[in-house]
Amino acid sequence: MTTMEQLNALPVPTWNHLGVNAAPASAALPPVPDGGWGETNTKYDPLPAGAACRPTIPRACVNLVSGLGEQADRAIRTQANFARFFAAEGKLEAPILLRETLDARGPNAVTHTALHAKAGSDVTFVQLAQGAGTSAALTQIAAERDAHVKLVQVQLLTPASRRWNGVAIRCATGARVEVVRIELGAGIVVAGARAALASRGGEFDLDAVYYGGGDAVLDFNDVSVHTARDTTSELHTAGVLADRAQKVLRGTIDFRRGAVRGVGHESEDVLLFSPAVRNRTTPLILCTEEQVEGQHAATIGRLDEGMLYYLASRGLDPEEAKRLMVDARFAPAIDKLPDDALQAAVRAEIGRRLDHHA
Amino acid sequence: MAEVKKTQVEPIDRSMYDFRYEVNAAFQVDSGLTPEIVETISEEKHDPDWMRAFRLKALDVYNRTALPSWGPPLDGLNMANIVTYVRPNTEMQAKWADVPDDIKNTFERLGIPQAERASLAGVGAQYDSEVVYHNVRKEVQEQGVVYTDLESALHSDHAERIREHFMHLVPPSDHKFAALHGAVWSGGSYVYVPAGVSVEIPLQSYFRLNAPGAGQFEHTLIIVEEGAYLHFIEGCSAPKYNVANLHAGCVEIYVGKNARVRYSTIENWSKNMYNLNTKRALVAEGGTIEWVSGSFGSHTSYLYPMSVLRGAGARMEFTGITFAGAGQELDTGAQVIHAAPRTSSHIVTKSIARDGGVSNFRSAVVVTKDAKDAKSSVSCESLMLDDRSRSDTIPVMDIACDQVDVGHEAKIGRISEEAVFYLMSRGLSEADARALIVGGFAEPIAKELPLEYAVEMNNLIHLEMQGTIG
Repeated sequence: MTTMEQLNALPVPTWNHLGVNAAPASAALPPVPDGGWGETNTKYDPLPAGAACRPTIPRACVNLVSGLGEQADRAIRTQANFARFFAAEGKLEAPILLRETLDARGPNAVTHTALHAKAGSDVTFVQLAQGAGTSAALTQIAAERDAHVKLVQVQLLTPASRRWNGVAIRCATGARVEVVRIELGAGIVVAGARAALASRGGEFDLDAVYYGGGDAVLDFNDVSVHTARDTTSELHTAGVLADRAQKVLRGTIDFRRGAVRGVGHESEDVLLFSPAVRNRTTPLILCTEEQVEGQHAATIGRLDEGMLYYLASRGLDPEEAKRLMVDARFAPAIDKLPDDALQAAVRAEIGRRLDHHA
Repeated sequence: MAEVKKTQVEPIDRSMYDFRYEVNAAFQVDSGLTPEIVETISEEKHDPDWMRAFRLKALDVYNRTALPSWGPPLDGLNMANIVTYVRPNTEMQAKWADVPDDIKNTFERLGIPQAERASLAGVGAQYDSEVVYHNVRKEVQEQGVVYTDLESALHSDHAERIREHFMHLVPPSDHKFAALHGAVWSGGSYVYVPAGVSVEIPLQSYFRLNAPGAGQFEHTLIIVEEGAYLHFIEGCSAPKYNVANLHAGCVEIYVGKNARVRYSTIENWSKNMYNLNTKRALVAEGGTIEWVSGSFGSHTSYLYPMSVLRGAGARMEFTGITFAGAGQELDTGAQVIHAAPRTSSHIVTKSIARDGGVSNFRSAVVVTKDAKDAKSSVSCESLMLDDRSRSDTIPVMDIACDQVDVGHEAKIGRISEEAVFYLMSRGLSEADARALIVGGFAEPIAKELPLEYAVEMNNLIHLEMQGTIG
């Protein structure tokens, strides 16, 4: 892949010295290795009734832009070693499950998937990334009238791995797309979701969780663009930073003219577990429409000592109390995972990370 | 949420500020920016050698520095057309009676002499590039307080102190317009408050730009020593011309240990003005800087006072309101750097956009690794009065210390129809109900302003809201 000039670009730039206008050079998409990306061990489970799959992705989906930006999207699309188009009709009784397993035989997954949720459909699309290597994924979702899509992304890669994750969404009238994004591993994590709410009543909800340790570089860029009436977005992120991890979160709610009665809320809650971490948070609200309600909030700091003291007085030791308070922050996302085993796996991974930083 | 009728508001009445006198300059440089112009300014001002060298170095930095890659467009500003120095036809006076009639009338219409008599400890008045009046009450002088124009101070026994502080907080390398300021600065005030002295009533500087196509580059340097207190008020206005004017002033404030400074600004430049001003405070241990800022005028503003909290326990408070109307793009906010333990900052802003205006809030809260137990809170609220206007909120929090408590909240919205309905049910007209609500929105800021400015701001808001409701 080519080096990105504007990866995860902030929709409206600010002071350059703060380093938030785009992802840093160290997080750029890597060049194509000699001999290409090779084979990948990316597979999907047998599809539930109502779902179909084919290898060619229609142009209508291809044109949707993710939070990573057009240049990164194009690089992933054109270099993908796994590309599939999924279509969903009616209410699917089970999720579509895609597994990226990075191993010695297939350490690089460049994955381009698109999901067409037909009118009135109800579909859950689970993407699981595990192993060691490089994962670059672009997911494009077109949700038709009154469709409901839940996209669940769980990333449990090793610390030496690298991860790029772009999500592009278009909501038709009354459509709702929920994204649950859990990024717990990898040394470089670059993720960006962008929703185009261009039809009446469209809704985009994002519940994101991250855990950065070691020398991890995490860079997020989530954007909700409201151009139609009665559109809604809820962008909520919770994270932990430990060791020397660095993170930038850009969250943008963009109310454009015509987004009458638009509502957008965003929040971030960051726990800092080390004096050597660096956290940057940039929550934007852009507004050219009068009749909207937009709100953002951010809380950054260590665990509340008063709460820790209270929990200790109830008999919890400090580590148990810490675990409880992290779980409380992550629960809104984890509880949305559609499978108990997956929830348990995620909680176990978070437990391991907390043990490491005890 | 029910769909509402649109509110139309009339443009602001600026007749109080929009009057002009024929330019009667004693001297002015050619438009544009060259080493010869900078040397001429330096010569006119009888600069010491170090200042002349400083100006030329700053010009070099200016020529090598790009325009900002963010913020409102600056396309209408062409430095080749800006006259950087206009000396009015008078020396600085200590009595209003000695100020030439046209200049005196200007400040009288703006209410400055009356305010001095009523409620100020000292006044400085700048007309175009030079200070034309400066006076401070005898009892304040007797406390050791120095309040004078910067040029006079450069040739006084404070010269060395000025050299040690001038553009150390805002170096010319900071950005292009700081470099421009370093090259062509003229006028402004120097304030020195000795340790332990509390200046109980405020000092005020008022800046008036009368010449079309001119720039104003005043420098305000304030040094408040340990345990001292000062309230400084800055006001500025200009008549409207159909050519661009430029204001690239600079304010540097040094707040000593356990000292407190309140800096209040009411900016009411005309709508042809590019207001690219830089303000910065360095706060020592236990010191406090309080900024109160009202931005109403200008065509384009970049204005984000910065506080560097360098000493343990230093505090910063910023309270600001921005009101943008037709043809205005006001990009305002605040910056704070927590560089020591137990520092705290509190930023509260309100912004209103109407009639196609653009009102942006931009902020940066930076907490360094040394700032253990720092606390910061930011709250910004924006009110959109129509769908032709724009309001963006662009905050950044950059935190490099784990033992901190940083909070941020922002809201954007419109006038509550339920509140309008309630007030109308109590007998108010719709226009009065809306004006009352906007006034209430701005109230937390107004109460921080000096009384006469708070009254003026409320009047401005009421004027704004007297438009057609339909």
